[in-house]
Amino acid sequence: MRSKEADLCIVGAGITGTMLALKLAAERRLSIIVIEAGAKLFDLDKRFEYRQRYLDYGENWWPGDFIEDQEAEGIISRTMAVGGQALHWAATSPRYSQEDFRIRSLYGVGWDWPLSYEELEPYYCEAERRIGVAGSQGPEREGWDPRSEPYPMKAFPLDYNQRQLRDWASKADIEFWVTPTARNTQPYDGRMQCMRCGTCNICPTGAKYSPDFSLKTLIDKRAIELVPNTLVRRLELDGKGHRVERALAVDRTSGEELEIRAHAFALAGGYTWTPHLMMLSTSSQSPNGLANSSGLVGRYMAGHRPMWALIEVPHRIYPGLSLSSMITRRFMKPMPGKPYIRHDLALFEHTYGRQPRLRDDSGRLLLGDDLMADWRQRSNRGCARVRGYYDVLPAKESRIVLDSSTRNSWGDPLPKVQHVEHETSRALRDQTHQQLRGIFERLVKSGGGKILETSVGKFLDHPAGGCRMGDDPSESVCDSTGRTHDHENLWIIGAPTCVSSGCLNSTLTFAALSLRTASFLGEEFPHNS
Amino acid sequence: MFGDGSRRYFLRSLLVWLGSISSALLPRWIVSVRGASVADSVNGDILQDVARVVLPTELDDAARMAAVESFLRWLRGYRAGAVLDHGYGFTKIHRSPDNPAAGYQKDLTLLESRAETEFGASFISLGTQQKRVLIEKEIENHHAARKDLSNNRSHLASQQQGPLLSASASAVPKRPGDSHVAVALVTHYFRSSEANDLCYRRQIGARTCRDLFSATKEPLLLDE
Repeated sequence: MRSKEADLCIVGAGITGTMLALKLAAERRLSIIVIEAGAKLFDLDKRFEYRQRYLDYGENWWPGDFIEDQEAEGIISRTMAVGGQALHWAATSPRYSQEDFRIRSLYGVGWDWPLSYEELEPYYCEAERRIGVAGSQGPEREGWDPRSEPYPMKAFPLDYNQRQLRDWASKADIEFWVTPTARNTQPYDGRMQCMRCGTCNICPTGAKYSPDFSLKTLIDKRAIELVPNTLVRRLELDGKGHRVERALAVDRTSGEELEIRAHAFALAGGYTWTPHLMMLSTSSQSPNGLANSSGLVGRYMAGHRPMWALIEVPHRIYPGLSLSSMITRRFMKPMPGKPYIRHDLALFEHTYGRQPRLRDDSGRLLLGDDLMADWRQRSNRGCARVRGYYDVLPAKESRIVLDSSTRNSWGDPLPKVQHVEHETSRALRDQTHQQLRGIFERLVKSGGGKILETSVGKFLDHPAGGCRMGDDPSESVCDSTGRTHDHENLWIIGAPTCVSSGCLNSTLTFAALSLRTASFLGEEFPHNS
Repeated sequence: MFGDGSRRYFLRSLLVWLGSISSALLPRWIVSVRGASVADSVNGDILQDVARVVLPTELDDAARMAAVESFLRWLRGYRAGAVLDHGYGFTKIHRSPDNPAAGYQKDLTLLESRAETEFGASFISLGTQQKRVLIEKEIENHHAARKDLSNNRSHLASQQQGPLLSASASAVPKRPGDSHVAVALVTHYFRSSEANDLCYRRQIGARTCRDLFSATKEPLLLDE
């Protein structure tokens, strides 16, 4: 068995592991190993080709970004590579709202986080600087969008379509502004300005932030050792069971076993694979898995549910023009005197009903000029997608289980994610849908148009949880810094620590939490001179 | 041994036969080489004639020929068995099916033989209306032959996607697939940036990389 040793072993090279490594390498003197099960895809020079293959053939944007035998069940991305899911994210980067951290105190439902928005706010600013977020301050009304620093880059300019849609929505007195995104509106951090290629899942120019850029810089500076293609299968405790002593891994390409010994271990595998690794790491000292004296590892899996309307608007808009959405935060607080119903609202251009079609409504085949004429006729009016993410409180039974019927090549059972919503959310579901429907109708009544479809997602988006943070060790897995209650040198990074998933895209929050963990974990190492 | 015509026929038949062997039974390098060869077997002359019927007449000769060439290039670049986009939140990996070129050539051959049967002339020599009748009939036949399969798929998809499917069921597919060659050509063209621009008669460039700030204004007219 090969052996490696470092001050800190980070398991997972996604955006949270990268943020942790970036901050610690900049501020502290320590050796860092970042170990990643997937491949290293530092191939910016090939991205135009990948983009074209996707557009032409629907091929995977990121060839080689997954591991064939790590096929879990549930709402789980297949991406497992250096850079993680933030390789192909759309870079949407809003913050959670102030209320998200205090819903028990404010509204008597769910759980408060053991930290406040104000405590996390400096780390939101830092995350926005480190990944490069372009945005504009939302309206200074009722604390909709509090922030202590301006965005590091000016927001994306409103394009023609967005101006039409914003003006349409404003007639219903709903004010939208451009959603903040981690895409460059100017050259930033060695990466170029966005060129509106329209394929943000794989940005061919590098204008969108993805963690591979930061990791490459850290490797070039010899600030970290990156060990790709290596799957950590177990963490082992010392004799007393207080500290994690080593990680046991396997090189997926050679099959060779590897042990990593470290002063501290940080698990940055995301909401699925971090709890999964902890559940696999059973021993006589931890029969239910690592850091699991509360029995809550893999529980309280959270997320938010999307509901949307496709609305024909009385304006001509041009599909293919807009790259991003607009957002409003005015519904992030429950309406006065109403039950706990909170959601964001985003506005997008959409092609629904405006695509070329092969048959008309009577079923007649359309070809050539007939097809073009039909397409033109239906394109006179545009379509908007109005989407709300609403908070879904997780039940304790919302969990990851080890599925012994499905194993990887090394014989380890794979995870199965089973979301179960809390009875509070279940009871409010119809009212929530009614509120959203009311907003869709209000938009149409004021601005004109027609609701074409209304749909509710059958899944919880942007999942998080599984190792939730808290002050009480019997009700949580780690404290607000990410340090586990049970093992002093084991830290959980980002998504799994979340108590709830708010009503907005979560990646920036995961990154901010990771940077906050770095501040506390860093205290164990000397300052960088 | 063979005249020029017979040799061409023999080679085309050989390529079509090769194309009919499932990729799963062949080594990867053969699949790749075969993909390009099979694509070369598609009769470009008849395809140009099909294009006159199924593409907009607004396209001049050069633009129509370019659209057909682009389709043939697409066929030559096709890779059977390639991993497809797995998407966010989906855990299953899907791979691209066999190269559709062999099927497309069969469709073109069938158009030729139907022209002989129904009009006693080669497809190329038919008038536009006669060509259109034949093409529409063959598309419907092709569609009927696959209806059971597509019904199953639609049922599955509607369970997964809800009402969104109803509008997309009649939409031109995003990319050519196992449809009739005429539908594949329609798909390849009408899903292009050029067709989107032509529909709106504006310079949108949906699939191109563009200046960040140019989108703030209404897109320019095509002839501006």
